[in-house]
Amino acid sequence: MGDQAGRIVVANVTKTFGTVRAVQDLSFTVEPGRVTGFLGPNGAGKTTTMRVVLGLAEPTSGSATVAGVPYAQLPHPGRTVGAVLESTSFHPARSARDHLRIYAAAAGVTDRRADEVLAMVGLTPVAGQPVKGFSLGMRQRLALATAMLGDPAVLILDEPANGLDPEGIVWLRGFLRHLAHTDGRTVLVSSHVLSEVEQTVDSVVIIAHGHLVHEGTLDELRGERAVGVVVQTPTPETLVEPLRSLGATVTRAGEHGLQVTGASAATVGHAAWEAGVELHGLREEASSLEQVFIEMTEDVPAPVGDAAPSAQPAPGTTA
Amino acid sequence: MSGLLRSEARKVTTTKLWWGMLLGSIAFAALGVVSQIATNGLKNNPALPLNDPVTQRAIFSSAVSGYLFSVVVGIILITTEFRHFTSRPTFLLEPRRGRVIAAKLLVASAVGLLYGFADVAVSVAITVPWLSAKGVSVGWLSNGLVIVMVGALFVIAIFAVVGVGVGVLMRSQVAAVIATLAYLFVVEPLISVIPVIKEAYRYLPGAAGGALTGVSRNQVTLLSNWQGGLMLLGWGLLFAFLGWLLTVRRDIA
Repeated sequence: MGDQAGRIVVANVTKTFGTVRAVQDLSFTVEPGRVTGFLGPNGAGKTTTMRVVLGLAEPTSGSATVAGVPYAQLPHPGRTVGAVLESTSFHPARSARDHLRIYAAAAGVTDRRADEVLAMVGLTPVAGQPVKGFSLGMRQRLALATAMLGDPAVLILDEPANGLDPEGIVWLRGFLRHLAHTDGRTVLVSSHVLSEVEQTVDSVVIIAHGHLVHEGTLDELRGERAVGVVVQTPTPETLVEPLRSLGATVTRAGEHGLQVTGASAATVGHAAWEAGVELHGLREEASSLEQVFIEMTEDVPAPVGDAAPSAQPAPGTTA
Repeated sequence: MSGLLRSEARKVTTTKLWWGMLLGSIAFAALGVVSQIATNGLKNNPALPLNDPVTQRAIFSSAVSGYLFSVVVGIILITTEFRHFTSRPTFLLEPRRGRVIAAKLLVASAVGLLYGFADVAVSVAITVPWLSAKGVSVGWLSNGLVIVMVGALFVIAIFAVVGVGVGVLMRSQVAAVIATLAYLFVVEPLISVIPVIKEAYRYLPGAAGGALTGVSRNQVTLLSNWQGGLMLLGWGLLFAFLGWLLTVRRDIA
């Protein structure tokens, strides 16, 4: 397996449904030993991409590999990759333990492993109960347990925080970070809300309208934040002109406040002192990561296949 | 493949479906047998007396009525995967989806055999004491009853395979059950009376199943029993193959 072990490589993947291109020429790599957030607004193509990686959907063009090979060619897929997909896959009348034993047999692991993963996600007390009585959070835990059956090196989770209560989200965060940082596994976790996974992920792959918009560490993303200055003063109007003459952008923020970008706190403070303006507050404020994320994913134009008559159809596409 | 078979077998045993449908199958088989014996000798019933070989074969072949539940169980075993999206973890653990279908067909045939055994056993349990109470002896070998019983067992078993085949092809549980019942009880009987295509009737699933017990509908000449069995099995496997070719191979929801 060499250095390919546990790495997910998506290479120039395009996936077309009829005339809609859900994913377009998407390439990124997910490394082991860290939690990678797969982010984008709803409909950006996250689930489609994951389904392509998992061999549940054929890419129209391009390829996706796990541990160096396409999913369908993995010798023991269940022992290499564990997946939690967005809507849960259970027979309602079956107990949690029976559910796990069915897939334990298919994955080639023992029934004892089924009990181990039940304990791992904290479902042992309800192991004998039918899944139909489970809350969404319990179903997510059971899906996670199913994914862990084969002790896989790679975990792919689609919106795993959906339906979890705050306590469950904290638990999931610790669980995923442990799997990546302590065990050295590859963890890819999708979300449409960056703040939901901000404290969980080390790296991010951000897509919008099927295109890649950003790939890198969370710290790199933090570096992209715009920094502004918030000023509190009883006479904001007297400060607007002096700041604008310095090239800063100034907007009113409430009755006694200004929002300034393009100038540091020191510059703003100096300008106020020179103009003799009384200050009640002066602080630098970075925009939130969520804002960066929203701006990044907003600017991308929607590539709609049928809206561009001159566009060549993607290879393998039939109308 | 053994892990896959174990997984598929556990899917059957971990819900109440199999024994609920088994009870239904037994009830239908019993009803078929009872109605044959109880109505014998009534004024408007043209059937020959109970000691006649034709009548005795008809009685034992009535156990076949239980096939209705084996075909439905076959349909449900596969369509429930698509209905509850359990097809996803299944195909994630075995991306070679044809093997999953093969395992499902094998497990369904085992379930079908169980139903067949149960239905035939019930037909014996009802017929033997009843006829002996009437002072009629049962000609197991001389009247060809053993062959009829084995035939009935296989019809019931093979229809479970046909059910899986139809289910793979159609994927929708309700649509597959309705289409199958409509075909077996409306479409095929209609075909059997249309003069020109009547000749093709014997090759159709229902008639092929009928050939196994040698009891014909509308005086159409049926295939021999083993030909009928193979024909019916062929239909089941054809549906499963088409299902694999047309849908299961493709993207999974």
